[in-house]
Amino acid sequence: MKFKFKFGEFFLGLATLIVIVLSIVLWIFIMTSDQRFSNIGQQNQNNVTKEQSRNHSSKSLYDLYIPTTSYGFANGNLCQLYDSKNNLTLEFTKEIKKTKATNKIKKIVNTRAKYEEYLNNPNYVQLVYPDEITFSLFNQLNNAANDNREFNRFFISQSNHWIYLGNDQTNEIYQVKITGANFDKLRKYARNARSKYPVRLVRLKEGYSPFYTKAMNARVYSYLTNHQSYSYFVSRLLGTSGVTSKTNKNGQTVYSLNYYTRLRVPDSNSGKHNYLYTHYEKHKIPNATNRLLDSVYYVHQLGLTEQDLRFFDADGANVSYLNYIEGIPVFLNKQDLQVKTTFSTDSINVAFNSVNFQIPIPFDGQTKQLRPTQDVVDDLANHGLKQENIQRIIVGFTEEKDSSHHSLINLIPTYYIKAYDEWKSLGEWEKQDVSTYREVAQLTVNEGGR
Amino acid sequence: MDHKRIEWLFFVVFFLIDIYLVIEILRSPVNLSNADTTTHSVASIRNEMKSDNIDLPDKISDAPDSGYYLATKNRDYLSGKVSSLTNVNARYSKSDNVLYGEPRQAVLLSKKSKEALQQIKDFKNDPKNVPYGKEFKYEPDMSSEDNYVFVQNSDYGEIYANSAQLNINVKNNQIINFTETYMGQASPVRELQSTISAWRAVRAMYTDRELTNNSRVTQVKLGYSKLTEVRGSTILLPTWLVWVENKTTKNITMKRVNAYTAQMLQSSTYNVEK
Repeated sequence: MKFKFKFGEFFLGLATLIVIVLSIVLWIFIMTSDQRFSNIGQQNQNNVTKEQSRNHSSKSLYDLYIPTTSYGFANGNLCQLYDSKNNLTLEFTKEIKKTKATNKIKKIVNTRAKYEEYLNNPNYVQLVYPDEITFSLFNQLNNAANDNREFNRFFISQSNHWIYLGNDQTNEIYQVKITGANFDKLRKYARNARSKYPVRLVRLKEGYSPFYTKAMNARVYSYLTNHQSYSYFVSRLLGTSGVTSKTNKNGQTVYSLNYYTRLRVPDSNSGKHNYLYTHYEKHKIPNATNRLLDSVYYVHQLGLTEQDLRFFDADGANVSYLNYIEGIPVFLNKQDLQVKTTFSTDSINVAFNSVNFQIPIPFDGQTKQLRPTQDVVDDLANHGLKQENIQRIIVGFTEEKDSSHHSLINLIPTYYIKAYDEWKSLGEWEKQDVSTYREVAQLTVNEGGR
Repeated sequence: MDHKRIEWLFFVVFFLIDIYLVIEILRSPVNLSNADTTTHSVASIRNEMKSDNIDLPDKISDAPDSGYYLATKNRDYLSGKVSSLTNVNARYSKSDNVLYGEPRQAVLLSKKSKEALQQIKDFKNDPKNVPYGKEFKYEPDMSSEDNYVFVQNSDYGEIYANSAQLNINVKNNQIINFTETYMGQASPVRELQSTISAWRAVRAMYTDRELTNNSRVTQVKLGYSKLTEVRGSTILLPTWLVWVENKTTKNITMKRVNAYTAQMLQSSTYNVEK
């Protein structure tokens, strides 16, 4: 057999092989390109980018990031203030929107003793967020766009030219010179607030929590609620024509838009209204400011009624929002949050509940007595949950169905405690075996130390 | 020879596929979510309205406002007042909760519109003529030459509802009769909350196709509208009231936009006869 090597045939064979391999490589590249698919996916997301969400909906940003609690002094005592007619936090937000910082932020306090002097100084009205936000969130208070320093407390002095921003966790207070604000009305509202509950601010793991010094009768509110249909959320989050697959598992349905965007819908017969939206995208976890801003973008995308929705907690890669009724957060299904966004390196998860507090029912006089906070903390310590393990303690509403109407719910005030990174009501913590939590926490500490 | 042809065919086909795939990669994906899109659309929405021949008032505020959920107790407020109306012949209809009154003596009005309006206000403020008259406020945008409309006022704003209205009918410069409905004192059900701006309400109407071509927005006001009745109370919520005039027929319609959510309130239009 005669072997005859021909260059032409060899190169033709080689070139054919190369173009075949190249086409396979290019095809794989296209199919696995994150950027490509994430961009295509966004075509169905109402054509709104995160950037637009930041620039365009500043009203919504302020509405979500309203301080939720106010403090002032009455008869020499620190009090939590509340007035439904003259909403203090709304009045503050109206003014802070007009405010501009005229100089750089200057740190003036960084010790606990000095910080507590400010907390207990009757010259200041305090407006407080439930958790820390960053300086860059509101640009007009800070010209540096990437300032990730955090604060959770505004101190309003007697002057309209200076404002102080405090961080409970670090004991730092920053002084900012401002123009354009007039807090005279706010100070007047604070002096004349209808409810003034005496409190002392007690340092817990994640900052200062108000401890009510006396038992109080907190109001029980009622609402008629409704829920948007699952198709509303599928259409908003995945678009009207892009849904590529639908799978059913354990009664829950998962709708997918390409490989990268999914929505898990609860079983309509289960009576549950918890959804989970997942968008797979490889990227770094955003910094603190961008986590807050991006979470706002996702909240807008959901299309929930945002009237009562407020920023509630920012914990590592999580940012969560709750409905606030009369200054008190509402926990759903005992301890669920209304919206919780979780950022990771390969996906963004948005867990949310579709409940809408649609129609408020006039207050019928029903109240619930809440014990002084220290008594509650002491009882929890006896149960095994010590004060040093409590991150926060607040009064929140737990929802209870009213038997008189299928969509009527009552909001019952009770203590909510955050410990071991979990929010639970007092009743729920009392049912828990806290030693298990302690052991897990200890194990985590030990593993971290290795 | 056949083998070579097949090889050439493979080479050409895959080469073309490669070119196509490279073009696909180089061509950036169609990005409909361009950062300028919404900003642009917000700015151009006024132009779009203009091209649809929709006129807007010179100034519509873009600043958010604030309002409450209010509640009034559902009671028969007017029936007990009939006996105290000594200057008018009054009767009360329990079925539709309306008080009808006719002056016993002629009430002559000035021919000057301002003076006539003042005389009518004086008439309704007299408790012998109209019960709770002082709680009603003149609403020029709902009134016409022979029908003066007053809406019930509250500490928190005006209530625009059929069940909170006073209509005084005039003919030949004389008060002929009046009809009155009254909801009682309103009180806040929840705390003061921020609302959308007037401009955002008009924009929501336009995007919801509630503003037809060839129309004119004549007035935008914040007022309270009826939401529902529950547990013996009527719940009111802040609404943007938008008066829209059809340029051809000159008909004026008042529409309502939920000032919290920017949603249209259904079956809530009110036709104004000028």
